[in-house]
This record gives sequence, C-alpha cells and structure tokens, in this order.
Amino acid sequence: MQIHGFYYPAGQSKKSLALLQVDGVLCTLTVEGELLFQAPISDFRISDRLGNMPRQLRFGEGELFETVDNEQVDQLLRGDRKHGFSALLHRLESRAVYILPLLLVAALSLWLLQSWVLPNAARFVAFSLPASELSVIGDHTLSTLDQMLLEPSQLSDEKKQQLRSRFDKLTAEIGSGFVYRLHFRRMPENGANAFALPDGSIVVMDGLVELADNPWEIDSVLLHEIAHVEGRHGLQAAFRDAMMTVMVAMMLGDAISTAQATAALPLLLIENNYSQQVEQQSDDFASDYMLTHNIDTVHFSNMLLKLMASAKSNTSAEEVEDEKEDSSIWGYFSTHPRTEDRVLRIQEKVIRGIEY
Amino acid sequence: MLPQTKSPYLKPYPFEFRGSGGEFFKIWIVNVLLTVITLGIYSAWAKVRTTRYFYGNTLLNESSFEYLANPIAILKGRLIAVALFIAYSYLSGISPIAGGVLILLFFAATPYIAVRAMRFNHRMSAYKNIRFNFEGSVGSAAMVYLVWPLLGVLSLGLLYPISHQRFVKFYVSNTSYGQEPFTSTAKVGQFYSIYMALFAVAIAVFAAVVVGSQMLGGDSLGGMSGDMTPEQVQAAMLPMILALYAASLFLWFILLVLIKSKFTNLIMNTMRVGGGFYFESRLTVGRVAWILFSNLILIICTVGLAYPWAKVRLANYRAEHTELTTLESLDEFLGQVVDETSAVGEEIGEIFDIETAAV
Repeated sequence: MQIHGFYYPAGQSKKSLALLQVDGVLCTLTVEGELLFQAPISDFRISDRLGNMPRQLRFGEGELFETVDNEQVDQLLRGDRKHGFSALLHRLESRAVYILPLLLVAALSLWLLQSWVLPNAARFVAFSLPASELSVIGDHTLSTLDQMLLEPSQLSDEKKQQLRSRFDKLTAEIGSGFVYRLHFRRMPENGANAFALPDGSIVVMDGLVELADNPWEIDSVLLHEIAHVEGRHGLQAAFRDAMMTVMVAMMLGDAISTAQATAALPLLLIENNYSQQVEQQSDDFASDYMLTHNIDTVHFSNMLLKLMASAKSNTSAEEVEDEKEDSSIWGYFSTHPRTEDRVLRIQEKVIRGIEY
Repeated sequence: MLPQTKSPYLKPYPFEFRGSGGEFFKIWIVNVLLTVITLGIYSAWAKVRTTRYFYGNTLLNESSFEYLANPIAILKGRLIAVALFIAYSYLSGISPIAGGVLILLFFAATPYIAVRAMRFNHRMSAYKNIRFNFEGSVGSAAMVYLVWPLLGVLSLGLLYPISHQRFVKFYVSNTSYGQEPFTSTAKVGQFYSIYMALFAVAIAVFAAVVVGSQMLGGDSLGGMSGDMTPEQVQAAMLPMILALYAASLFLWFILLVLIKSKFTNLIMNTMRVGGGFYFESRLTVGRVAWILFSNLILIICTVGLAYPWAKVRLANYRAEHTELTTLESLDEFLGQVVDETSAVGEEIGEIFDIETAAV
C-alpha cells in the first residue's frame, strides 16, 4: 500500500512531498526520494477521521506525515481496536441514511431525559434525604421571603391558636417524620394564598383565612399543602431544575446560541405540565382525606372557587379577558390546572366514592 | 530594521474554507445524540470534533490548521467547572452572603482563568506542525479584564474604547506562532471612530423611538390625566416600552455585527506575525449583518436544525475575505517547545462565560 502526502520535520513548518509505503505492519516513509523513517504502524499516533479533512500521522519527537488519502489510512487501521470507536463514529457521521434515525433517537432521548430520567432521579434524591435534614432549607427560604415579600400576620392570637390546634390534629394523623409547623403571614394587598416549604413549614396568608367561611375550607387548603410536603414536590422540583441546569451547562458548555435557546422552549412546557400533575396529586390527597373522614368535599370546591374569584378581582379586566382564552393551548403554559377542572375532579371523586 | 508598514508588493495567500454544511450537519447530529444519551459526558468529544472540523477545513497555502486538544482533558476541565458551578449554586442558595463573596472571588480570579484559557486554546492550535502559544501575565490580564472595564463603566463608557483597544493589544501581542511573536499596531483612535458610529446609530434609533411613539401614541400620552389608575398609565406606556426593548435588541445586534466586521478588520489589519507577515481582512458590515440575521431566522424556522449550515456559512465568508500577505516563505517557521496545559481554566471560562478571544 502506498500513501502520498507531506512531511514536516519536528518543530519546523517546512513542507516536503512524502510517500508512506506499508508492507504488512512495517511502514517506510520516504521524503523526496530519500528513506527517512522505518517503523511498525503502532509507532505512529494517527488522528481520528473526521469528514474528509487531512489526516495526521505523528511519530518520533513531533515529526508529522499528513495526507488527504483518508480511505487508505482507514484501511491501514482496519481491525485496530483502539480506532474501532472512531471508525464507528465516522460511519455514523458520513452516511445520509442515518440522519433521520439519529434525529429521531436524539429527540426521543431528549424527551425521555426530561420527562422520565430527570424527574425520577430528582424523586430518588428528594426521598433519600432524611426529613430532619430539611429544616435548613425551610428556615432560609422563609426568612428570605420575609425580607422580600411577606408582612407579619394581623390575625388575633386567639384565631391563630384555634387554627394551630386544628392543624396539629390533621398533621398528627398524617405525620411521617416531618415536623409540621404552621406560620401566619400577610401578603401586600392582603392576597389569599398558602404555600408549603420542603421541611414541613406551611405558610398561610391572612387573606386566605379571611376568605374562608368555615374551618373545613381552611383544612382543605392545608391538606393540599401537606400533600406537597409529603410528596416532597418542592424538593423534587428544585433538584430537577438543578440537574437540568447542570446538564445544559455540560451539553452547551461552548456557545449557547439562539438556536439552543429556542430548542429549550418545549422543555419549559413539559416542566409546567409536570407541575400541574403535582397540583392534581395534592388535590387528590386532600379530597381523599376529606372523603375518608366524612368531611364534605364541597368545602374544598368552594374554597378553590373563592380563591379563583379573589385572584381575578385583583387583576385588571384585560387579564380576565385573557384568562377566558385559557381553555385550549395556553392552559399548557400555566403551572396550576384550571380551577374549573380541579373542582370537576373533586366532584368526580365524590361520585366514585359513593359507588364504592 | 524591517519595514513597519505594509508594502504594496506583498504576495497574498488567501484563506480558504473547505467544510460543507451537509457534512458538518451529520457530524453535529451525532454530537447532539451522543451528548444527550451520555448525559453530557460526550460533550467534550463533541467540542473537540466541532473545533477540529472548523480548524481542519481552514486552509492557508494548501495547509490546514489543526486543533490538538485531547477530549479527556476537556472533560476533566468541564467536570471541575461544573462542580464549581454546582457548589456556587448550592452555597448562594443557602446564604446570599456566601454567594456574594463567591462572585467577588470569581471576579478576582477572572484574569488568571482567562490567561489559562487563552494559553490552552493557543497551544492546542497548530498550523504546519507548529503550535501557537500565549504567554500573557496574570498582572496584565488583570488590567484588561478588571481595571480598564471598571474605568470604562465609571467614565460612563467614555473610556470604553480604550479598554477594548488594551484588550486587543494584550491578546495579540502575547500570542506567538512558534518562535514568531504577534504584534498589533491598533490605535485608540481607530477604536473610537467605530464606537462613534455605533453611538450615532444609537442616538438615531432612540430618537426615532421617542418621536415615533409621540406621533402614534400622542393621544394616549396627551390624554393622560391625574385620575388614571397606575394600571392605565402602564397600559399607555406599553408600546413605548416595547419599542425601547426592540431598539435595544437592534443595537445589540448592530454591536455584534460591528464586532464581527469592523472590529475584526481593524484587529486583523493591524496585526503582524514576526517581521513580515501581515493580514488583510475585508469583511463588510452589510454582508455580515445579512449573514447573521438570515442565519438567525433560518435557525429559528428549523428549530435549530439549520445551525450547522449557519456556522459553515459564516466560516466560509470569513475565510473568503481574509488573506495573509508577505514577501517571505511560509516554510521557514520554527516551533517552540511548550508543555501540555490543563483545560480547567478554559472550561471554567466557557461555563462561566469569560471572553477569551479578541476576534
């Protein structure tokens, strides 16, 4: 076998015509007619094939033989284990028939990664942390929120005490290693809301307490929040986001282009879809609890409807108009399911509960 | 003494790019697939293959450039950079003070990271069996990465062109090809004149926004009275805010175009290797703007699939309009013995987005 190319001495840019003759495993390099180097093929460090770029065969102290005769170099390396993977890569990279399957597999893997691998990994990590270790995260989050957003509660001590004792009864029954604590805060403009922190701290806004017409309505919201804690939903979301960020940083380490930013949009949609599932699970938990404890789930439905109404009264007419169009595609962008759907789901549960 | 100015009798050696969009598309799609299924590990190999493709298909005087980095070195650097990123996210999540301290530490380390990154990138680049090298000191990097940009900000941008010129000088004059040093004769005034043009465009664009919104939204602005709620005021201001946002995006795009055309021309045309190797770069603003803009549209319309063609197209245009000019032979360069360096600094620079190239 004869391979034509160019020879460069070590540390010099001087380019000379050269010929590499291969006889079995023995390679003989002649430069401009004169014998220069004779060695087994294993003495050459050969660059991997990439497209039809020139190939570099280095030897000695940085001497270089360069050739565009990729086919012959490939033949030379045939059966060489060390170059097996690079030969496979080149096959994948050079045939048009592989394009469509590769695209499909890439899209499928990306989808699997986001919708299955990462959520499960996040769940695994979230549930492998002992509940007692989580208080650091909860304390820090609440104090940050206090600084930035929340105001002290204006409820009477008597009211707080009353709500706490109901809360303690609820959590005593569910309790699974978490130390549940109920916090009272007030939102600017007295918004009605409640949220749970990963360590079992549940924060209720004055607005929500004032909106409720009976204690069961408050219970239903608290149960929904307890379900978030029990399911470690907040932790899972945090780990999922962190893993996603690391993966994206790994994948795109070089040049995050507009192209890749656009490609990230579908991932965002799945993210919100995932959060809707979590809300649904928490609704189910609350309505199941109420059903098994003979509490009318209508209180939960009422509370959800009142929360929706109060949220709407705080938004401008224009936004309400927008929300009407919420029914179809835009629902996918929202983190919570639509209230109507949530209420319907609770009613369905009641019907099924009666059938049992 | 060698002449300091270009002689008109220099022999031109045009650059040439031989890659093709179709060929690179297949390489790119394999990179994407393997990166996803290896959870990012393959990204180091993907990076090396992409860079090798663009270097290896760039030819000068019938010889190609070469990218020599070992993917394992890139992977190690990348893992360390990602570990630092995780540590930073975690610590700043637990305590904002720790996060602030880490950001300050990171700023302080920027010159060192940048020097390491440039050294790695240069030593891994070769042409005709001779490697490039970068020998800038951390002290002078601190001047161009920290002191000058700070002065630029403090002077409300008035000194920023000097900062840019100092960065280019630092980058070029610490680069060498084998034993031949690079030098730059770029003058501060040349940077000011490009920035003045950008400034004029900025004034014109913002004036157009203000005048335009006065004319179009004149009624709503004029009719704004004391009994309007804050929401109504906001709604009236919305078109203006959107127009300002669009104007800022437009100016950012113009700056990008200038960097890839006028500034590249300036840097290349004032650069010299050794005593007698000059460059001639003739990129035009209009052409670069068109390529960047149409590339962006293509990439968006194809959900990213046109990326390989977009990248090849730009490389093609750049190579076609760049040449080396000299009276000397390209066969007589001598190499320099350099150590292998680690890719840690280079990867930290990439993950944390430190600028490590002038062109």
